[in-house]
Amino acid sequence: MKPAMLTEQVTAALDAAGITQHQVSEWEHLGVVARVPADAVVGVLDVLRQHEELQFVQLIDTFGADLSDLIEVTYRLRSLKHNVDLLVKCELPYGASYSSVGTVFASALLPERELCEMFGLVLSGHPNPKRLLTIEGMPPFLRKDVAIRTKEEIWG
Amino acid sequence: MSMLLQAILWCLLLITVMLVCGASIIYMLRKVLGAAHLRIGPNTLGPAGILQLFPDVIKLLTKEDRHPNLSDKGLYCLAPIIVFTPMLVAFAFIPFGSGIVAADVNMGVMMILAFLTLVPLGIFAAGWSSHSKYALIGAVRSVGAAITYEVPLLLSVLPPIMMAGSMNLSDIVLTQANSVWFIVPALPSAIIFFLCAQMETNQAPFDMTEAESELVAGFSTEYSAMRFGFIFLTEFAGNFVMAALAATLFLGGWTLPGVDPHSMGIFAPMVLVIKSYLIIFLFMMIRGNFSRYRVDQMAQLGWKKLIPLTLLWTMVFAIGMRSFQLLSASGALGGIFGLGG
Amino acid sequence: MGLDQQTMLTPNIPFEGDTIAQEDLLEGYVNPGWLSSEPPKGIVVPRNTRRIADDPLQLCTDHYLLNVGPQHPSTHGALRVVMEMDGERIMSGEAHVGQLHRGIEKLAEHRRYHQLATLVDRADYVSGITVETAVALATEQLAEIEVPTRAQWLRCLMAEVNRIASHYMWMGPMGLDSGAMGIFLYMQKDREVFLDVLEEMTGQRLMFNYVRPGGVTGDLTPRAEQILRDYLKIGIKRMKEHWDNLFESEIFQMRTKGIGVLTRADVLNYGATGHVLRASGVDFDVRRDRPYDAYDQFDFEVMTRSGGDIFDRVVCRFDEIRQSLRIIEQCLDGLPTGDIKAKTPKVLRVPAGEACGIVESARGEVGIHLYADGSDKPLRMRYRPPTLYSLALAEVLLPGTLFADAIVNMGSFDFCFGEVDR
Repeated sequence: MKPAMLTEQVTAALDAAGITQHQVSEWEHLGVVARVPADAVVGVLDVLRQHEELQFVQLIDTFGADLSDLIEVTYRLRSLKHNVDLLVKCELPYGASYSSVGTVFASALLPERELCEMFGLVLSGHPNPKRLLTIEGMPPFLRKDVAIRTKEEIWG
Repeated sequence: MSMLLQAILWCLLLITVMLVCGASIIYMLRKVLGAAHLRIGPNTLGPAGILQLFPDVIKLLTKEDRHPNLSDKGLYCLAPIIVFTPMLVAFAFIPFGSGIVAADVNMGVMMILAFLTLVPLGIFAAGWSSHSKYALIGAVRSVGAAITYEVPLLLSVLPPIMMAGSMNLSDIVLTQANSVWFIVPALPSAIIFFLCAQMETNQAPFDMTEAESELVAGFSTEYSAMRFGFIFLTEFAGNFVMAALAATLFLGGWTLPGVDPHSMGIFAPMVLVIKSYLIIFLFMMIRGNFSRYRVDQMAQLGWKKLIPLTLLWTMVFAIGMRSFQLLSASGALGGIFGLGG
Repeated sequence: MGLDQQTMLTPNIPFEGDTIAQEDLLEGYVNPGWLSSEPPKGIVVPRNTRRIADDPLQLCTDHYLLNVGPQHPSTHGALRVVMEMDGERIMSGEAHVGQLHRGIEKLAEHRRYHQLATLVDRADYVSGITVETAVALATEQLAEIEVPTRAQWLRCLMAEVNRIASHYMWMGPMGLDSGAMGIFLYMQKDREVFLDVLEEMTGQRLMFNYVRPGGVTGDLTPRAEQILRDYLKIGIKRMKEHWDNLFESEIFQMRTKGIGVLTRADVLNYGATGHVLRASGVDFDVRRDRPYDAYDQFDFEVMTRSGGDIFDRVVCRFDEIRQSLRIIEQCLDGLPTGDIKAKTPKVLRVPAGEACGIVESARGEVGIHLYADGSDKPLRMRYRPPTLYSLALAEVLLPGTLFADAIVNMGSFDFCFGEVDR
């Protein structure tokens, strides 16, 4: 499926589902990316998954990135029918509450735990909202304001 | 007085034989499995690594003898002895030659099997008292396995007993020397006995009591130092007991076909040992290559296949043997074999 | 162990008196046929959040907690699974990961683009070449580097060599999990051949650091080619031996057939990739469907199976080895001449943007997502670990299985904890 056609169909699908403020466009290197508001993500993924034509049946990856003023969360969806990937991106402020999409795609259950511990988000709506890789008390490592070394380690 | 002295000497001899058997089987296992696995095995200490066992024993002796905090200490210390002793006693009934047997009793076969039945008890005690869940699972599996293999094992020794007309192992050996090895008329029994011997000695593919990839080391997980050494030694001595029993029951024991049993002399024990080691070699090749049964699959094998099969075969064999004897007695077959005492 | 500790360890387990919705107890929480006909109504309940129904025999036995790992011989690294057991049957289980966490993603933000390959080698320490390729692909997209054709072919060649080494490294211990010791060492012998090739080409046997943005570090040496040519002659025969030894063994089949069955809906829902996906009948392989490097020029098949059980997962990979041998043969025959690396600056500065390199690693799909901010270091590197997603599936399969089966089951997913924990 051509990126232009995918953009069109995804826009139509999201419009039909009554999701506002979305912005679907083709990015260099990445293919089609849909920007949606953070509170609509669960609905968007559900719509895309159940869409009869698109059939984004797999959530391949869930991850975040600290863009120095906010946290950007990216979902990579895959449609096996059309052999095409779609990235869904949303933005969250620091320390915000992140609501789980595990009810739509179970594949998000483990990466979400990692995402929230690594970026200091509060995980909600998750069946097992614990840390995945680190123990209690560790800082959110992947935030830009957490240095690899502490001041004491650098300066003695 | 001479009786007492004789008994003490026999005991010392048996312990020596057991230690030597255990040690040589451990060395054999390392070399045979090494060859089967395209490895070398021990090769540094002594010619072909034959002295490797001594540092192993010294290591076991000098290690700290510790026990888990909440373990049942009495039982924990006793369990390796419960495992070790019946195996040692079982050695007493095996005839190594004409008159070379510590206890030449009429119920030899039954005594060996009865004492071997005590081994799972010791294993269960070890697992139970260790206060470790892995050990406990191993122990429970061991009991489950015991009730699986005991019945077919007992049934599979019936044909040799029927043919020899005696439970005395020396008689069984001599009957075979005068007729044929019992593996010829009773091959299915021999195969089933071989399978049950593998189960009895916890060998792969029936090693779920100490399944390394599941239960770490099963019932012996928490054991260390010489207590572990006892359990380890018992395993290999058990190998020898079962193999020697199989050789005695089905392969003519210490005799050779065409050789007068009373002129064997010093060669008799060697013949038995060689036969046993050939059987142990088979054990080891199977151990080296096959996957492990699950405990419920083994129970199904035992209860649903082996027990009906042995019952049926024993019945068929008994009828066949009796009619053969009647025909021989009436002169129809010319009394070739002269079975049945 | 007190009740509080139990609650802490296994929060998933509802205790006596908790209300559990009836449909949560039912098997098959999702209609397996929804892909073809109608989509599911309502919300899918993840299966590992519920407890299996009580023992039908009503033996009223006590449950106990069993702590498997991280030093257990069959956890293939540093996995810890806390299982609630009823005798030998697992009632519920939860995997705890993170023992190998080294913050590779954070460290990547402090490394130049050329240095990333060294880091990801430490993440997936069994099939490093494929993951290095993913990093190189993402960087090349960002920096718009043209890779010479010979370098592309060499990447494919080495990736397949590494894939076979990794598959043998997994399949042998898979036999070991089920109790077969011999097959492990026979397969190690085959693996040695491929490690020799890797050593010859890269100088390393584990952390290759071979694929760089713009090309590869070493050309095909005559000795490496000779080793591969020699193996190609006997490869199929060796595979036949392995097949007879392990897969034809009745006990192995008893232990693996019909156990740990994953439906098509399960693997899609849990985002599985690689052999887990293909063993359940989903025909997707990054090498064929999103061809990178020179994979569009090779003739190979994507092996799928339909059963989705342990046996199918193992056999699926076994067939993959044969396809990899085919690719290696084509690589050796048709290797184009030319440079093995493009001219790249010593310190690579890429324009701001995002790029993703997706490759089929030995374990499944590895995606390296790079955020660039115009400097010589990435703003963020995301490593998509395929086995993290398989881990979720393994966790789902735990309730209701026997302990012995669970061990073989966990083995069949081929976890690499360097990768899961990063």
